[in-house]
Amino acid sequence: MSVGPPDGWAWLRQQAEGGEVHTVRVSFADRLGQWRGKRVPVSHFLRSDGVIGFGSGLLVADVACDVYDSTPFASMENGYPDVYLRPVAEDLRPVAWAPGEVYCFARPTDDDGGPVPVAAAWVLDAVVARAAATGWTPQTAVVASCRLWTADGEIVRPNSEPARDWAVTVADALVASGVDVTDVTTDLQSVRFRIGPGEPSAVAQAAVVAKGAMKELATRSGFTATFITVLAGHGAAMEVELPGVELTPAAWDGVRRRLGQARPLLQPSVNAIKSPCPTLVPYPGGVRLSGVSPEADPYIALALALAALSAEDEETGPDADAFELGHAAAQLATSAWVRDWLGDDYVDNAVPLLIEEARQFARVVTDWERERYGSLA
Amino acid sequence: MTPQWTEVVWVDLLGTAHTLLRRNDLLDEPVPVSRGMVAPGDGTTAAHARDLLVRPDRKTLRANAFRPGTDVVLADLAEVDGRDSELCARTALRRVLGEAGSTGFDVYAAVELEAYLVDPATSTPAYRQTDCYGMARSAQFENLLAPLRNGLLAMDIEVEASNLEYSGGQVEVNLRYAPALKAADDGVLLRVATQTVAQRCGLEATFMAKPWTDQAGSGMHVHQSLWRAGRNAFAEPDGSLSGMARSYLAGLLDRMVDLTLLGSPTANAYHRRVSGSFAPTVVGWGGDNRTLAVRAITSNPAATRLEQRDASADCNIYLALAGQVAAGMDGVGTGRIPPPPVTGNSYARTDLPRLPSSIVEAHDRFAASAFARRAIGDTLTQAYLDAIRLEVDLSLRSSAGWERRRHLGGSVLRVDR
Repeated sequence: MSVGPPDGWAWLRQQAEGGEVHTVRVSFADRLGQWRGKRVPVSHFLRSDGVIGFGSGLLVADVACDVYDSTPFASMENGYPDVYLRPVAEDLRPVAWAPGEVYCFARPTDDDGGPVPVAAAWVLDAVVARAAATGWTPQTAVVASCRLWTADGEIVRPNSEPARDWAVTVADALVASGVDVTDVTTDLQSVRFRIGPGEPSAVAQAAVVAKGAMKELATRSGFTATFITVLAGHGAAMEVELPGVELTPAAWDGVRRRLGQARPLLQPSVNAIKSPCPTLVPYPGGVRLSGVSPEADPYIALALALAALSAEDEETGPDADAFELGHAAAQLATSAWVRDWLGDDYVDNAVPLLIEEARQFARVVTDWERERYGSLA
Repeated sequence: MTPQWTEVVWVDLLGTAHTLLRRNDLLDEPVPVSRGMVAPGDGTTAAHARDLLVRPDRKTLRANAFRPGTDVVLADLAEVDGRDSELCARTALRRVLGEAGSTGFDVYAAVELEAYLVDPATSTPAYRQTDCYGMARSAQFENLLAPLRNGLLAMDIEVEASNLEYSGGQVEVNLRYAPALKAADDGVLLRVATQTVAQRCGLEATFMAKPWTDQAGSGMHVHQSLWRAGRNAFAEPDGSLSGMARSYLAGLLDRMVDLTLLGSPTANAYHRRVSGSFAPTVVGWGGDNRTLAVRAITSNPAATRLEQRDASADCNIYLALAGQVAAGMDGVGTGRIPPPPVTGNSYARTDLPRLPSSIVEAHDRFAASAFARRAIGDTLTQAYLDAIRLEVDLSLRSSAGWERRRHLGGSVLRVDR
């Protein structure tokens, strides 16, 4: 992966003095892998080391940023206390499509600088460390994808010329922003950017940046970039590549069962779970986790791919067979291996949000119901 | 020779900023304004009908980044005979800060204001779905927010950050703490600049407390601390609250009910002050807990401070600060001890003093408060109450859309959906 400037603070000071940079995007990824943060004037960033605080609710919020009292990490009961971002200047990268801006991701920490257990970046770090303890230093790649809508709500054919031109613009901007895009493909379903291979957390961060760039640059071109999974019968997917990994037939069944239990984290919406269950498939030179929703958090997708391969416990329970989000979340809650690898804190905060998402959908009467049942006597 | 102009900014009693462009060579000649414009509800008798003078405070003069080629200056209000006007909120804050200063302490503050960007064609938020801190979404508004941040910085207003807030269309710009009068001036200029830049981008900006029933309210959190000889007197070496901070805190809490009106001067503001809204409904303090009226922020010894969270973004910033600082200093002067900190969800607490839930209740508490009169002065208190009563009267005469939806035809038939 590309690296930032070796002496980030000096570089940034020089850029600021030269008028090249005016704003730093102090950034983090939310639980759906969306790019969030504050825009900090470079003068304040340099004076304050860029530390910012924000309400912990943002780490346990749903897709509409709503929060619920059922998440133990942050709720009305503890008053949604602050968590903090403490950027490392060596992680600074230019936002190539926004002149004058640079970005810097940081892991959310508590008051004392300790890890926040519901932040997926920390979860991935822990999984990578466990893998490393077994002698495996994983390299990963991600294929991030989206579809485009016009202002009129029409789907833009991904392999149309406007979409392809747009994809080249995005890819150029990402590469200039330190994101290692190696391939851009368009097919009937989505525009896809392959990022990596590289160290997992760097690839996950790059995927979050890529999603943000897709959104921003789509808007600039008069489109809307959507990460919704199933649209007009077609499914879009994010893929996780694990080069150099071989999967023996004997290990296959355990991996399949583990991923089934983790399904609602890989397909975290009522729409996403309409797709087939994510699974590992071989490709020349490695294996690929296929069928992950573009709505999923890349950090968690990578963590689960690595953990599913690393876990050694025999999965003896029944297959997770849920095809509905609430049911899948209930099965996730009882998954020993997911708890072991992602941590109880992560699971205990993810499950209520998935169940709440399902509950919200359960209150909605769909067009399909009206068509199917409306004429019954 | 091309005349040079200065934008003179002053606020009325309810906190609305007014501006006028004054030719620079006339800047030291005060400009008369109608007393009723400053204090609606006052000036109904001949004795009160004299104009007031807008008197620029040259210490605040600077280049106006939002109107190139002009300057901007904050102004006080004076009587026609040149005396400071007792109706001037900025002067009232300066007096309260002077009293604090006479005890050897400087008051530092930061105001944290939320606003909505509004599509003027539809009078709805500039975007629909909440995208708190969303980077991609906020990029759509960087044509507004970047010039706002950079312009304020150029005007010696230290912007720390900007972000999207907790409802569609809602934004926040964080300002660095400063001596309290400058902090209030910065807040006023931020509001003016936000509206200016928004209009240039084809939007409106509103600091209204609660523009939409189903969206978050816009608050003004006030961060405050006392300093002596360059040292934060609120912090013990480990960052925890000092005895002085605790007394100040006790003062804030003791007077919070009586002074609610200063931070929430409209009937609309009370729609924001409800359970679960992150605006407080009871008097309580504690650590890092967003359900409380006052948060003690002690994570960094250099930045230990108290954050009072009840005011709305459209209040008179000078008066809100004057009330809070007076209350805090009263706590210090009398050596008060705060009650124990509150933990947990304060909205669920029924044993704590309840904050006013309507403007009428807040008005009555303020009117009955001898402390309020001492803090901001008899004349200002009375004029403020007059202005509020006019506000109450107007709100009582209005018929809200919600009422029509709920009750139109309701006496005959109501179908619950």
